[in-house]
Amino acid sequence: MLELRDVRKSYGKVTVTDGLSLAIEPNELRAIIGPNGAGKTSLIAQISGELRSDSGEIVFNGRSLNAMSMPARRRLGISRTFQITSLLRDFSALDNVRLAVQALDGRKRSAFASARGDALSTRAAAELVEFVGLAERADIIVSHLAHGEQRQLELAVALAGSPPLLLLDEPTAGMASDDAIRVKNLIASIKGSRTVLLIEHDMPTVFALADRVTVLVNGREIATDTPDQVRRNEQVRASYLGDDDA
Amino acid sequence: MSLLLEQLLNGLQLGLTLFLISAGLTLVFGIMNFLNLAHGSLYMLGAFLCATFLAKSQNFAAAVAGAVFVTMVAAFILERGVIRFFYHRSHLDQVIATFGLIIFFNEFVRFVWGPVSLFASVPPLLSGSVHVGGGATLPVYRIVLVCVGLTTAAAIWWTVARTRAGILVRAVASQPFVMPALGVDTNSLSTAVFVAGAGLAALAGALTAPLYSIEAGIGEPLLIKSFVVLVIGGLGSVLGAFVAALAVGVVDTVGRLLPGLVALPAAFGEAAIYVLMILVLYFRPQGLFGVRTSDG
Amino acid sequence: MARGIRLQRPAVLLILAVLLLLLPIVSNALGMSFLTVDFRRFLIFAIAAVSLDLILGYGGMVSFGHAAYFGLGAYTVGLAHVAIATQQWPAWVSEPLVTWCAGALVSALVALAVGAISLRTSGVYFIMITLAFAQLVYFIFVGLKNIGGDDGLRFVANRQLLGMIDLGNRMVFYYLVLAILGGVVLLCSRLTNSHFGMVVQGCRDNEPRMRALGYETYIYRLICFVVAGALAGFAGALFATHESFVSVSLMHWSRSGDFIIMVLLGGIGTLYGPVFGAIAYLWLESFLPEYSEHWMLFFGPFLILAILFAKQGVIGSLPPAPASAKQRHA
Repeated sequence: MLELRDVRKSYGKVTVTDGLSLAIEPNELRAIIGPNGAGKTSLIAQISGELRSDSGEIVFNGRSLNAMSMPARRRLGISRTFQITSLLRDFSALDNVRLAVQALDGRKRSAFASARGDALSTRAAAELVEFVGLAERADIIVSHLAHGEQRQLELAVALAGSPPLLLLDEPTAGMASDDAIRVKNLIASIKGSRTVLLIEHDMPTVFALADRVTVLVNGREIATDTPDQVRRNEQVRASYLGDDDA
Repeated sequence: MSLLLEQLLNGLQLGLTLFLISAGLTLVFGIMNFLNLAHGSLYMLGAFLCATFLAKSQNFAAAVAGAVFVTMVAAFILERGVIRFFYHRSHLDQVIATFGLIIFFNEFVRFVWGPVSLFASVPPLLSGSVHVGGGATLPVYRIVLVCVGLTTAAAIWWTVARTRAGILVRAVASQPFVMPALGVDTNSLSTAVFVAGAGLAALAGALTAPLYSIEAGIGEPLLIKSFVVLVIGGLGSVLGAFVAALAVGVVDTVGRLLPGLVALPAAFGEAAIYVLMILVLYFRPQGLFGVRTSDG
Repeated sequence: MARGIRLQRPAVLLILAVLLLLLPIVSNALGMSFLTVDFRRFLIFAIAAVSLDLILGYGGMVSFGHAAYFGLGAYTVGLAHVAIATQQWPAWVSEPLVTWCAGALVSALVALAVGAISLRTSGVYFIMITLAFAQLVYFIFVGLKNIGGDDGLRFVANRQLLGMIDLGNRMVFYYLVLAILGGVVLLCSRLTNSHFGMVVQGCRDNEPRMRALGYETYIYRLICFVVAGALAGFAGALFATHESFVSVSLMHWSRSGDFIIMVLLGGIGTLYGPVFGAIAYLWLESFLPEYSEHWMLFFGPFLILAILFAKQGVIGSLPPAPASAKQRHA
């Protein structure tokens, strides 16, 4: 479903992506792990279109993404969450999801009809808000939501339009353990019905959810295997996991 | 040919005038993320003060020095009393507040100096022209201005590139969040940068006082041209301001000649620098040497 | 804290509307019918101020060049009349509806060109570029000596609308302008609440997020910018018919600043706040010089203080009606 071919990206002397090649199968849940600065977020940024790669190709369902803008990729079905929460802070939770839904349902909209009055997209948005567990907080302005609730909302927004490829950048970052477990369960429930690329630092989550794990160090892939195999890989243990794996 | 040479000199002189104005603007924006619309007013003050001191003392150098000094004092009071309250405000607020300052200063000069324009004359020692090759004559004063402008630019470059203060300024301009970590008193730094920028603008105003009429509102057209300079050069970069200012100065001056020489509508002379700006924006939206994104 | 009677925004809107409706009748009765003409001018500028609120308050686009579109609309009307007087164009072109729509169209086209370039940038660059382009338009018109340049263009505006409505009657023209203003406010209100308007407001809130959702933000903002330019052009055209005189001072960069002040002082992002702001600002400007030739010495500092302490403006400082508090956007 998603293929990276020798992708490279540098900022002057700093190389963040160093000839990375990956192949991700449809409906696979691939976890990306690695030390800080390994280039994980840059990788997601390049797949989503936020960053332009210097060279190499990113292919989605046989289609090269290289010339496509970020909005175009989203409309194609490549959706991401952000490591640092990025939402519309002055809008309600429901408004955020509804805008996400409306971007993708391809319906023509009058410039004079009220956006909030649109029943179809409101219902679809409400379903997503409920799915992530924010039903009671749907009308609250985002800047008044707790951090954990905002992370849940990020997930709801990313799921709008049922995207076939989901890029999750540390979805549980900064969350209390209750909230983190809720998010993990949400990801588990969508696993298998779409392709997921998951960046995570929490090893139990990775080993519980991932079909396969890719280890990234200094912008390069040093291993791709099942979680068990990766856990036992000597090189991986030396450079990242250490001897005290969780 | 001689016309071209003369216009090139004028273009260079305009460019260096624009540089003196733009340098202060770009530094203030680079360090404090503050867009100062009233920067043109500081130029205007420099011109008015120079003319006044010249009329009293007949000593041009003293008049220029006095104009720069008094404007810097005014800038100090302005920064401490008004400007610093807006560093953390939105750019919209900054723009309207400094617009209020423009309104104030334009009325202020009318109030103090009356509605009639002032004049300053070129110092006798520097008036007259020199013969250069090809039968062309160039006015001495403009040549002097170009020299002073280049010297000042060199001094700025040396300060920014070689002194500790300059390195500090550059560091903060490209990565503003390091400022607290460097143990620098941000208040003093802001004031110093603002006052220095004002001094440069006042210098430009004083030096060009003999060339243009001196009245309320002369700062703004140059300020807006400086905006074109900064868009082309990139906000936060003094080198960018220098390169872009010279380019804008020359293109503007020579561009006005073209409709007379070739079949172009008169409006093109006005539009030349904007065409340049559009071209630069197309290839490099952040400007030639831009160091900060526009949202800081 | 004492709980007095606090004005709710809809009540204020109602009071404002009633006052404006009664104004010509009252001023006639008091023998001050010149007020009708004065307020007609204020309302025309208010239309342009409302259009600026669309991009400034809702779109978050700080355009410091809005006066250019107002001026272009005015000049379209003026130049059309001149062309007819010199027999270059047929007489029917001077029909107000035609010239007003032409003014809006000209402004829309220029806004399209300027916006297409400027909206590739944002933040401070956007402010500087819109200011620079407005200056370009101003200087181009200053340079056109054959149509008046600095001195302006005087002409006899056609004041028969569709051959039926006599705009020479000061009350009739006043009520027409008031109706147009009401229509513009209503139009902008519907627009900002529509899907399009929500996307534009979203772009103000977090543009990268909107792109990540799949919206081509550049297109939405450009359309919004052009609509605002067209409305300002329409207002400018109305002004030309009202005044029978246009000059480059209409397009001076400081007029763009004036429009922003009207929006801010009235209440940014409220749509009818700028109506109040325009009326108040222009009315004060019309009689303050009689008290002091140098009133601007005080206005500058007043503006600074207003921005420091009351940047929500007059209408913006009032509490909204309870039902809309839940969905209020800053």
